[in-house]
Amino acid sequence: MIAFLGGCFASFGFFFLPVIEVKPNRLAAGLPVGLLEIPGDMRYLLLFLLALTPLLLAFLGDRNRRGWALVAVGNLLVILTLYLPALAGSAYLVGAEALFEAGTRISNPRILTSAGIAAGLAGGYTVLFAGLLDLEGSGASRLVRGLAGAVGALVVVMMLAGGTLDVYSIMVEYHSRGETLAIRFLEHIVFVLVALAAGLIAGIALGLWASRDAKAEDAILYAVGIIQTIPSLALFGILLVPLARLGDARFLSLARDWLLLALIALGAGLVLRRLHARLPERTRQFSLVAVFILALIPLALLAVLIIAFGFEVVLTILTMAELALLRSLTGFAIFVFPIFISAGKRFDLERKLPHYRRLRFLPLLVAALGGLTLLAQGAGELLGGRELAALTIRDFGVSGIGTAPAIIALTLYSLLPLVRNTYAGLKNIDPAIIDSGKGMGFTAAQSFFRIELPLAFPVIMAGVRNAAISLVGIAAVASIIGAGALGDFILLGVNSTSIDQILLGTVPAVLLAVFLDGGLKVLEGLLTSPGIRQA
Amino acid sequence: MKKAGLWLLIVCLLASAFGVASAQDSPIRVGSKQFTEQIVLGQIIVAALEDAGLDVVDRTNLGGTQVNRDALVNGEIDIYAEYTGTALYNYFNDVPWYDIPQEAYGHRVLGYALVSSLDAAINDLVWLAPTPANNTYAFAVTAAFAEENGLYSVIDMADYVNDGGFVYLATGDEFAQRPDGIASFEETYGFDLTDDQLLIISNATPAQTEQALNEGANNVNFAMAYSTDGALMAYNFVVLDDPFGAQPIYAPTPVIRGEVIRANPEIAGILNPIFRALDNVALQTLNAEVEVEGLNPADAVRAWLQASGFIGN
Amino acid sequence: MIEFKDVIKEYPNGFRAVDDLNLTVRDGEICVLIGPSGCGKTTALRMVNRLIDVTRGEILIDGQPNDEFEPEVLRRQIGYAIQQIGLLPHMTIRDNVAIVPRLLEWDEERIRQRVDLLLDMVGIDPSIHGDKYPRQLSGGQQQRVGVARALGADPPIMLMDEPFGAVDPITRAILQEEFLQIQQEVGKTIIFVTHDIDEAIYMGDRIALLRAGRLVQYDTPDDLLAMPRDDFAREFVGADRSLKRLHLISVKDSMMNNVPCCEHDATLAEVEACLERHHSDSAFVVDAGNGKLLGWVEKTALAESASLAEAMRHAPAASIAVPEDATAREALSVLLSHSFDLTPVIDAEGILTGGVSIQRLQDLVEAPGIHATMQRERGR
Repeated sequence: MIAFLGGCFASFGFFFLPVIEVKPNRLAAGLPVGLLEIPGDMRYLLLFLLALTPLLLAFLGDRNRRGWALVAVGNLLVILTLYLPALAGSAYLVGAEALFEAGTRISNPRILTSAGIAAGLAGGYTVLFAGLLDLEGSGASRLVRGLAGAVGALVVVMMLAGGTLDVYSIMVEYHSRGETLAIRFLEHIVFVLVALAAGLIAGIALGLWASRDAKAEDAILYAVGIIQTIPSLALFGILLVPLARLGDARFLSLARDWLLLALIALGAGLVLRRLHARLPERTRQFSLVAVFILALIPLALLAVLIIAFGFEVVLTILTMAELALLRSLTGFAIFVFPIFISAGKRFDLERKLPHYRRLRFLPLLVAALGGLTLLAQGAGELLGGRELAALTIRDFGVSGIGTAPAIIALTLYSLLPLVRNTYAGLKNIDPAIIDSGKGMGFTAAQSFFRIELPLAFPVIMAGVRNAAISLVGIAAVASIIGAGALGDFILLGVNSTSIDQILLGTVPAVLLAVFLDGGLKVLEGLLTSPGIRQA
Repeated sequence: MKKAGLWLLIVCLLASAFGVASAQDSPIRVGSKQFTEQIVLGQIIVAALEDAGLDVVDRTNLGGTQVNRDALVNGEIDIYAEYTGTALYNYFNDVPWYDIPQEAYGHRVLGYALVSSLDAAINDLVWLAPTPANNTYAFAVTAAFAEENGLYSVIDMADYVNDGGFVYLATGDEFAQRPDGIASFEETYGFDLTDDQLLIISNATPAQTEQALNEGANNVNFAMAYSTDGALMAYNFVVLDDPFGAQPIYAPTPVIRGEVIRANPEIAGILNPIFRALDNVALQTLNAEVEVEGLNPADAVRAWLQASGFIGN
Repeated sequence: MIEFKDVIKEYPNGFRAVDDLNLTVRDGEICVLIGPSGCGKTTALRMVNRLIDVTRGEILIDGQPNDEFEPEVLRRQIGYAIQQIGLLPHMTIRDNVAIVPRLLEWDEERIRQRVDLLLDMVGIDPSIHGDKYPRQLSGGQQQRVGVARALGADPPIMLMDEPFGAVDPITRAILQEEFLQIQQEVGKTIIFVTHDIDEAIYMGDRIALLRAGRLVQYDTPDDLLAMPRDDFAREFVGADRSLKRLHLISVKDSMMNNVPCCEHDATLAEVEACLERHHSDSAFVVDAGNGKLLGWVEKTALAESASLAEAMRHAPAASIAVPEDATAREALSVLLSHSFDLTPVIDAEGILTGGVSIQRLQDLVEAPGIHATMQRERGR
């Protein structure tokens, strides 16, 4: 049934929609060309017929054979949908002058992938998916299915790397101004991850608070909802001036003020704790809020500083050539650690090998030391050699434009799904479970980390995935505040109606979203106890 | 004991890191708004300053007017190219002790003199030499349509409208509603466009209205445009001249923070000749190279600067 | 030993959940708290391990006020089992049982042994179910794990809040019996909350009947049934309290030792003399050699028969007799189903030891305070 749909989709696209547009230059509208209009040989007709085959294959009885046939057709469709029009496109470009009316400015003509190709790819992947479902039903192993599903994508990657598809406008665009694409992509990823991490900490804290305190519940959920409705431009405007002032501040004087503030907040907290029982109800609540706000200021300051500086450091670490070796070593150690742990469990090495219990933490130690060195090197690169007295907060990456406001805004925007899901996850835990835990002698912290968090984990992860996906989208607007990321391509492309440039930013963003979602799903599966995993 | 060793190691690592990095001087941060011409202007500044051996941070492609202006005023960037008209209209409205006279808007020299002196006095910002270019709102038509109806300036357009010719003008809502937008053309050249002759696209930029004209969607035959827009060449459009100056002058001019120009006075000597050479044709050509031919802005700008002898090879 | 001394729990709105409770639970006893819902029984239970704080008064554990401990420390020394079981769904059965030992930081080897022992004790095979997750077990199995978990660190005291509440009646009966067997081994001091009077009577060494936070009566099950202190207590234990009491009396304690009986080789004349002596119409026949019950003989049959062997009616002992260790309630049902005046009682070997009549049972349940002379079936 799904295969039937995919076949319909692809063949419909090939028949009715243009597959490519021959553009005389980067901006002007092109000449649409349908698959069957391409003159020359039979290959284009064959592609069309290939798109029709799933309609017949869908009626094949044997599940295993049908699966393999559909996988083959799907992969072939994906490959040929990109390859054949590129071939045709090159031919069109050779005689481009003849195609357009006189006076049209022809410079750097190119081939825009059009709706037909989109339909072909979507149809191809639908057919492929249907085939994989069949194979799953007929009992093919996960590895085999994974490989079978990836063939098309691998060939496409090879074609991209080999220059076969360079005729497409997005590739032309990549070659003319894509040299910053990798770094913008990296920025995009780091933005999303840093904002996600910061949002997660704040979101879990707020979600926990909302789930525990009936009075704060509405206010918190309402507030994070409101944040979501503030347009990003307005949020950037609000953040610019105070952050610029903060950036001007000298590090030493701010540190002194910060310590003072923190001490005042701490003192007020201690005094309140002493007096707490003796104060009348009203005063108690009022002073509680006052102390909380007092404590919030230094905490928020610290958070902004850490996040902004952390971002700069991470980006420096990831881009500094001198650190390549250490980077790969640390990455490898992080990668190996879970393998050590799961291998230890699986083969019961902890019992068999005398020192395995300690040995398995070796990669963690390596990763920790490596990570620490990397952080130190990154921080040193950014701040090293400065006079301490001359250091301003701007040197830590906090300023009115750029990273700091972008990450603050992204963190704020990530809060809604994170808070809401944490709240829902914690609220939905059977109170009897928490009560029995308390009755057995779990402290509040133990109860939270060992009972509530693991039980709410799948719901929280759903929120994390939700937030991650939307952050990939929102991170594009960071560009308007000078923070870079893929928005540099997307927004500039929108402002000059250059589809190629928009695509250059959008395609990596979409891939990032897909992989991030998949990765988080895998992570969720690994970290969720089998006892509460959805069947 | 073990723990102490670990801490020692950490401290050593941290200490080692701070030793390796080199000292930095505060670099010059160059901004720009987020559209082709601004990127081109920003890249010109970047390339010229770098060529002169200055330390430059490229912060171009920075969002809209408000973000760039706020960033400059708050010391987040040091220089970007602003349009005299934009400054006149937007930046001094809340100055209680001075009202900008009406005639300044359409007057190249007076307008420049006003914004540069006001900004110097209020914000310690220095306007360097303006370009002779004028990137202002204009009407565009297709070359074929222009030939057919003899349309070359807004005078011709007024005749065409008053003779009852068919008009469907794609425009942004701001241009349609602002007194200095379409209304100013109507008053200066003596014609009147009714509401059903306008296709108002909310928040549209010239890029979008030009595209509407190019595609001929909804029978659009006139479009709001920027007079230096590179896309005009791609689409084979004709921009109607504005001989009576219905539109204010928008001359791109590098604006730099006073602190920075005082510390690096040579910047004026580097940028002034370059911007004086940037007339409408030069700007439109550069815009077209980037926007239409798809050259990398930095490459296009560098090639032009080299060809014009402003920087070495 | 757990002592409630003038314990009051008052909420900010003035509601008293527990009102001036005085109660002593002796070591090794099961004290059942019972009463209608809202009577404060669960509140009283939860105050013991400080899940709820006492407003006034104090609770002593082995003479020491329970608020002298950190709440978590206190709770780790007290077993806790609740109706909803509260097994942690993300942990395996083993890990669930190991919770309190882990909190107490026992070493892993000791925990492993303890967990296996406990699971065996509650009838869960650790090698089969140990690594499963709670949702893979039936309700009854989960309750068993709940009990094993409460016993985890071998606490001297256990608090059980309707621990068998969430299963069907048959499973519950099995669990109750199994638990009593375990209790015989471990001898914990237990406070047990239930709203089911039958469960209270079956499980409790003593029953504390609560109403609106106040203690109405604190007695052994037998005395509670025999002498309800007021109308509320009478109503609560139910109109069938006499029948319920029969559950508490064993046949051994209620039987008459002197019953009409003759050996199988007796002459007809001897049988007639025996019947005459007991003013009875029938007599039991036992084996002359080992005293085992063989059947019975009726007066009417004697006249027509030549010998006892011909007159007597053989019957397997199990079908007509009640064993000594049965409850009086079971004896009653045998009496009623066979329409005997007197039902024979045999010991484990099948030897006739006495008999029970309906009249005798009636006398017993109407007599007050029999607990002094009659031990419960489960003596200690």
